[in-house]
Amino acid sequence: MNNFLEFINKDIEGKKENIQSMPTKTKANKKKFNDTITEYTKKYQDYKDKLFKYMSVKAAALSKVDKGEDINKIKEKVVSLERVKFLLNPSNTYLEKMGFDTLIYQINNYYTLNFKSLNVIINGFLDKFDQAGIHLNCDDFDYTCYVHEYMSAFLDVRHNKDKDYTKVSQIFEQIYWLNPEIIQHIELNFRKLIRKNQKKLNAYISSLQREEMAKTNVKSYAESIEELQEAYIELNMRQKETIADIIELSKSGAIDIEQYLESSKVRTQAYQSLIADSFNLDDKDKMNNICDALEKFKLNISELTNYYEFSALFKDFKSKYEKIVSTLSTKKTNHKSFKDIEVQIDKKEEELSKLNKRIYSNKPRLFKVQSDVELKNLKMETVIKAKELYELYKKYDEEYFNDEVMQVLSGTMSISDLLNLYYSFDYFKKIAIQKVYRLTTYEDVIKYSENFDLYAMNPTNVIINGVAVFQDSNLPRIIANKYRLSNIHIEEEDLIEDNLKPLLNKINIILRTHKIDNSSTSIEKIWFITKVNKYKLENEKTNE
Amino acid sequence: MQVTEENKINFDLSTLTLEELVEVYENIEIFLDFLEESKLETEEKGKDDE
Repeated sequence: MNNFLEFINKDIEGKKENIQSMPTKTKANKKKFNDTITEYTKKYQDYKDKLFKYMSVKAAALSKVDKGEDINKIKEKVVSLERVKFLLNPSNTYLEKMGFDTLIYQINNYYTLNFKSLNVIINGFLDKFDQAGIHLNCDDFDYTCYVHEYMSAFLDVRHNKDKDYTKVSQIFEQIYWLNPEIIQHIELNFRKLIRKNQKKLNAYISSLQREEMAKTNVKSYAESIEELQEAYIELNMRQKETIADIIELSKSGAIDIEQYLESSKVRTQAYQSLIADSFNLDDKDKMNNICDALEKFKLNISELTNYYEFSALFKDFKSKYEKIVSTLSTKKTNHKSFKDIEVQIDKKEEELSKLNKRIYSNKPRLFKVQSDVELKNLKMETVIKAKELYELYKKYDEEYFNDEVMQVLSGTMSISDLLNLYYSFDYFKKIAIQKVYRLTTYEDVIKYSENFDLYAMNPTNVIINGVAVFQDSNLPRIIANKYRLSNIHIEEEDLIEDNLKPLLNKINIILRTHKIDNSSTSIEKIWFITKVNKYKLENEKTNE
Repeated sequence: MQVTEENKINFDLSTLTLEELVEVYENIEIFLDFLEESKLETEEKGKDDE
């Protein structure tokens, strides 16, 4: 006998028989029995340890595969190009490019979305002004006397080293009982300052644009899109899954490598359901073509998954604007109502400013009681005026976005156009997401919003370029028909939302099997590496 | 040639396939579990043999 497996199997059999035949009636029997068990255990633990050592060395040798190129440089290039594209985006203004719209959304939803800290939001506004070289002081916060009082205390602490906001919180509490709308007033004050400093902020954005354009050597927005597209293609090529990635996926349990073994029913079904029966799997060239098509198909599925995730958002937009589209004879940009509201805001803010001046310059008259009453009334008037302004800003927001929508609205507006629209206006995107998905926390809004942005800025999107917002499209049919031409069996039903995950699993099995078959490793080797890794983790757990 | 207990691990493990290595390792693990479960409870000290 020269095979260790055979030896072990026979030896185990013999030892089991021996154990079972041992008497266990008396104390001495039991002692002898347990001594034998201990002796066998010691011996077999020794076998196990030595075998594990051998298997670990073997697994380590088998794991030595090409880990792929370093993609950090191309990743950095993509980030720089995305930044320059963001700054040059012609669809939005300094407000969005500075990220003020995100902060306005936060302060606007402070109570609705249970924000933990008002200080963080306020400091966010102040930091952005500072970045642009605009250093705000307490005199800039004159929307109401309450804002002035609160922000004076806030700025004092902001400029102090210890940054202890306890006193500011106390002041907030005192003001809150006199004026519960204090947060709205702070928001209005920042909105006013943003509009007031439009020129400086635009100049700052222009300097950033020049700086980023010089860094990336990009001369226009169109060029940034082209360069980004190329960089993305390169990045996608370089970050294609490698054998090392597959090994890690298997070791971590993210994929079940047993499904990839030739004997696996899951693998057989994957091939049978996706590749035509007549197809010769051994034909290398044809198999390469199929896998190229499947790689593209995978990207389409990812795009379709995103489309399903945000289809409620698209429907919401469609229901809001389809009536307008049907009456839209020519493309028009009507700034009238948007500009009218801006004039009204200016006028009312001027009135508010006059009232505030009277408050700030108020000096005790002959009868102090009369002066106090007058002061109280003046303060009340400013609060009422601020309330009116808050409503006006709401209308302004609506018209501001409508104005932007009208510039791209048409019967042929594509999902791609809609993605770009919301991507360009973070404030309105978040409002829509919050409403459509009925979200109650900022964390959830951020999660959807970030997924949306990734989807919107993905240059590998192709399907949505031809899908119109205001017309019904059968995306599964469009995709299925495309891939039938490439010898891939696909039914519309496979592409409905719930079936995408199993479909993706099948595609991955075929693609990974193809990759492994064309490499120096094999599925059996990866299966072995995974097993040894599992034993290693188990042994570590036992020894803890 | 008779295989002795002492020379068992001197087998040439490289003759085993990957599948066989896993099989033998798992058989050893199962046997170790069997041994652990087979252990008898020892009676308290001082108690007479039955």
